[in-house]
Parts: sequence; C-alpha cells; structure tokens
Amino acid sequence: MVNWGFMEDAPKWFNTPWTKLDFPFSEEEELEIERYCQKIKQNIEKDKMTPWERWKAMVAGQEVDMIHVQIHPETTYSIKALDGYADAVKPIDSFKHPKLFLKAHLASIARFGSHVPQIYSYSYGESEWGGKAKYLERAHPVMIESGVKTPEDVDRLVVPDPRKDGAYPGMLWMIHNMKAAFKKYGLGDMIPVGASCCTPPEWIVGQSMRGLKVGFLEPMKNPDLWHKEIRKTTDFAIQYAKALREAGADIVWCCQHHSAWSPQVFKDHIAQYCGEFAKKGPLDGWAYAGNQEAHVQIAADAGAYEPVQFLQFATETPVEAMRKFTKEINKAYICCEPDKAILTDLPTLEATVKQHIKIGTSTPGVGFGMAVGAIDYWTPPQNVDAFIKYVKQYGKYPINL
Amino acid sequence: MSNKEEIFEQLKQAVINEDESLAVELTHKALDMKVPPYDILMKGLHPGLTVAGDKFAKNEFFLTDLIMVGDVTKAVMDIIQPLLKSAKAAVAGKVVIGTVEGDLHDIGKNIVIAMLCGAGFDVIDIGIDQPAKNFVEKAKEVNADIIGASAILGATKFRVKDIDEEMRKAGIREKTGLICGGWGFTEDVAKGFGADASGEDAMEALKKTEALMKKLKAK
Repeated sequence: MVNWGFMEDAPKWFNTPWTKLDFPFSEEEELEIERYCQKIKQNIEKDKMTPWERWKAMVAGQEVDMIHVQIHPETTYSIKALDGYADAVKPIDSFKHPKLFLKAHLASIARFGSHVPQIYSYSYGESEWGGKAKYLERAHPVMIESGVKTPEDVDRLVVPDPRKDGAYPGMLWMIHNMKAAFKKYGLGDMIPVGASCCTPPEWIVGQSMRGLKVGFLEPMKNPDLWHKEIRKTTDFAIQYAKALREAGADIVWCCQHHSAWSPQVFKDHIAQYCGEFAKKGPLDGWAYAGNQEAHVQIAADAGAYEPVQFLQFATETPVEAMRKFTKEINKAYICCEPDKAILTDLPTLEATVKQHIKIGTSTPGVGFGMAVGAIDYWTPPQNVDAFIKYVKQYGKYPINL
Repeated sequence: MSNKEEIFEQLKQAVINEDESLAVELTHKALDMKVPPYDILMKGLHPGLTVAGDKFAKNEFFLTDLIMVGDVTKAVMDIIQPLLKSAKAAVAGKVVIGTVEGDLHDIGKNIVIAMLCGAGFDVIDIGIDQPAKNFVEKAKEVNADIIGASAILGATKFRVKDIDEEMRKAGIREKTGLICGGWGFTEDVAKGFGADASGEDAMEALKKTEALMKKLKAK
C-alpha cells in the first residue's frame, strides 16, 4: 500500500502487481470467451477491411471501406450486455472481479458490433492518493474523504504505481487477457485493443487527491500548491499510459474536459502538463466531453496534440468547427455522440448521424470516425444498435447520403 | 444613481467578478444603510447571478466560475438569510434538495443551492447519498413546494423514480413538484423517471425551478 489511503471492502487482489494476478478460467468460461470471439469475428469478416486495417487507414487519413465506429460501454454499461439487461449483475461486481470486466466487454463488442474495443479506466486512483474510498453499486468507486489536508501532505505523497497499486492491476490484467483471447481465437491481427488512462493530470488532483471542489479551485486560489500537485499527477498519468501499453493495449488515449476552467487558467496552470503527458505517455488520442472550442488551440500550442493520432470530441463542441480544426492540424477526428443524443427517438438519431457523417467526411485526406460516449446505464440497447446500424449504413464509402 | 442603487450595482459586479470578500463587505455596508435584505437579494445578488448565467450559456463562464459565483452567493446568503427569515420576507418557493442514494457528488447540487437561494428560494439541503424516503419526509416536514434531486452518475438516475413513487405513497405528489439534475438528464429522461422537469447545469436548473414554481402556483 502506498501513501495512507484506504479502500473500503477492497477485493483480495487489490494492491497486487498485475503480473502476479491469477484468475484462472474454468472450462465453461473458456467456452464463453471463445464464443464471444467467434461472434466478433463473424461481425467483421463480411467487411472489406479488418477493424485494425480500417483504424490504421483512418488515423493516417487514407481511404477506408466504411467509417470507423466505436462505443464506450465502460464498466457500467458493458455489464448490462453480459446479463441481458436484467440489472442483476451490477457494475460493482465488474469493478471487483476483473474476469467479469473482461467478459462484459467481450459481450458488448459481440453484441453491438462496434469496430474496436475501447476499455475505459477501471480506477481513478480513489485511495491511492491518501484518501478514504468506497465502492458504489452502479458506478466507479469514489473517494469519500481526501487524505491530503496540508501542503506537507502533498510533499510526502508517493506517486502511485499503476502496475501494482490499488485496482489498476485489475485493468492491466484484463487488457492482457483480452489481447490473449483475440490471439488465441484468430482475432490477433484483426482487431486492436484500445484503453483509456483516464483521468488526465488536472482531474486526478480533484477526483483522487484533494476532492473535486478544492481541486477545481486550486489553480486560482493556491497556484504554488497546485503546481506541486499536478506535477505528481502528471508523473502518474505518464506511468499509467506506459503501463497500459506494457499490458498489451494497442491504442492508448485519455479522456479530457479542459473547459471546467477558463481558457486563461487552463493556459497558465494546466496546458503545459497536458502537453508533457501526451508526449511522454505517449498518447494516441484525447477523448473530450463538453464544449472545448475555446480551449483546443491552447492545448495545441502546449504540444498536447503533437504525438496523437486522433481527437475525439463530443458534439457539445460544434462538429463543423472541430472538423475544421482537426483538418488544420492534420489529425483524425472522431465525432462522439453524447448519451443525450443516443437517448432520443430513432428518426432524430438517424438524422443526427447522417448530418455528422456529412460534415465529418467533407475533408478528404484527414480521418473521420464516429463514437458514442459514456453510455447512460438506462439506455435501451435498441438505441445503441440503431446508432451502429446508421453509421454502418450511411458510412460506407463512397459516401452517398 | 442613489447610494442604494450604486451599492446594488457594485454587489452585482462583485458577483460577476467572483469577489467574495467585496460582496460580503458590500452586504454589510448595505445593511448598515438600512437596505432591506430582500432588496439586497433581488436588486444586487440576483441580477449578478443572471449575468453569470448568461455568460455560462455563451461559453464565457466555465464550471469553476460557477463554483466561485456559488461561493460568493453563499457568503452573501449566510448574512442575509437569517434576516430574511426573521423579517418573514416573501420567498419564491421552498425547495428540499439532495443527492440521490448511491451518488456522493455534491458540487452541482451546491451550486444549484446557491443559485436558488440567490433567486429568493428557501432551500433545505438534505445532503448526499439520500434514500427516497428522506427527500419525502423532509418535504412533508417543511411543507416544500418542490423536491430537487441531483444524480450525476448515470446509473443512479432511476432513484428519481423512487422519489416520485415515494411522493405518491405519501400523498404529496399532486401539490409538490419534482425536478432533477445532472449530466445527461434530458427532459425526456427525467420525465421517464417521473420528474416534472430537469436541468443539465445549475443555470438551467434555476430557470426550470422558477418555471415549475410558477406552474405550481397557477394550480
């Protein structure tokens, strides 16, 4: 255990290096995993390109057979695909049992036919920065009390190691075993595994070290202390990105939401760390929520986009503006429909998808993909099915809307 | 401009500039000048909040600005609220607010509380991770007009339905409004869980609460 944090009801494997974790599969589970992989293979075999070929072409701005499409079921929604939407097995079960986490994601990819699994972060480091934390039934675990009360506490904080601390090893084990399953069942060269090292350095300060409000306001109220804190969380985030790749992730990205802060605060106190994190991770992409229009140029100037291959923006940031921006910096653009866009009637969803495909594909030579962001727990599966269907239907090249 | 009008304008600007100590100083100064606390609220604080809301809608203000505006509002309300209560000043409505069971987030809820107080509502905060029955018991106890339920975590949104059902069981649903808030709480989703309205952010929550209050009064 690093620091002095405490996770209530932590599973036995908590704080075990991921290379030492051992969750053997029973014969039935082996069969189950094989079946999921068979279905995933069936889903992609009929297409001209494999998901990996399509991904590589997309990020390089080359020709593709159809628009890349992905969903972010996260731990919470993927568990619903596993239990047939019974709301019987809960997200907390997946957070405590990495085998369920793995099976839930395989079930989601098989069920919905998205092109690439994008595994969202399994932990925000709730207790690894000195806090008291607990598991919640239907959500990520959460820090309930910060352990950092004084500037001296910040000084003595040890930067956690995602390879062995807290729940991070569970995610690394899962990614390693997803890669192994793909290899074993003939998908190894066909489908990459994407993984998120969320949250970014500036959010870790609030979510996992100081508490959200103190963390949010620290850059303005106590900038010297803020820079000490974010220095540590940046070092951690870099290690997290590296650990994901060591476990087998082919695509490593991080979620972002710069616009919690004003552009000036972001520029003066945050952007430089995003640039460092992106370069040293290195990151393949950023996935944004919220309207980022006023912040993206600052992030670009800080070097946050230099190494990345793609930028994903939820449509709260105007789609036309982000298509233009990503073209200017020559990065693939993944247009992400937030949950409220999915939780609408299907004709509206269809019209939205068509409109965004039209804008997204208007600039040949720079990649374009589509995604659904954090899917609301209560989203009917029919809506997710419809989104995937519309992208595949209207996203076949040559685009003809 | 009279001295009073000047002080209202200065207070408004202190809110917009997120200057808590100046806002507190001006509030004390206004009270020393025998300005009624209700006027401080409605002619100084509330116009400042309206501008802050407009700026947020125009992407000129950001989440941290709202947190700081919320802090300024709370500091002013801490001074004038006891005076409003003892003067039995008219309130815009009475709201019982909390975060639903299973969800421990409180930043959004606290900003909404500040905004509602700043708009003249009497707000009773029951805290985070609250079961449905606690919302309803408190609403009955204080004779609330509206229950406000915050649920940031998508998977806890269904708790709003529990509150709606609990309100019906207690026989208060007809006369008591139910509004919910949090990311992804569209009007359709909220209504699906039995709420009358929803707000995705604090400013929308304020507008929708005012509209719901108007509707309830017209009943």
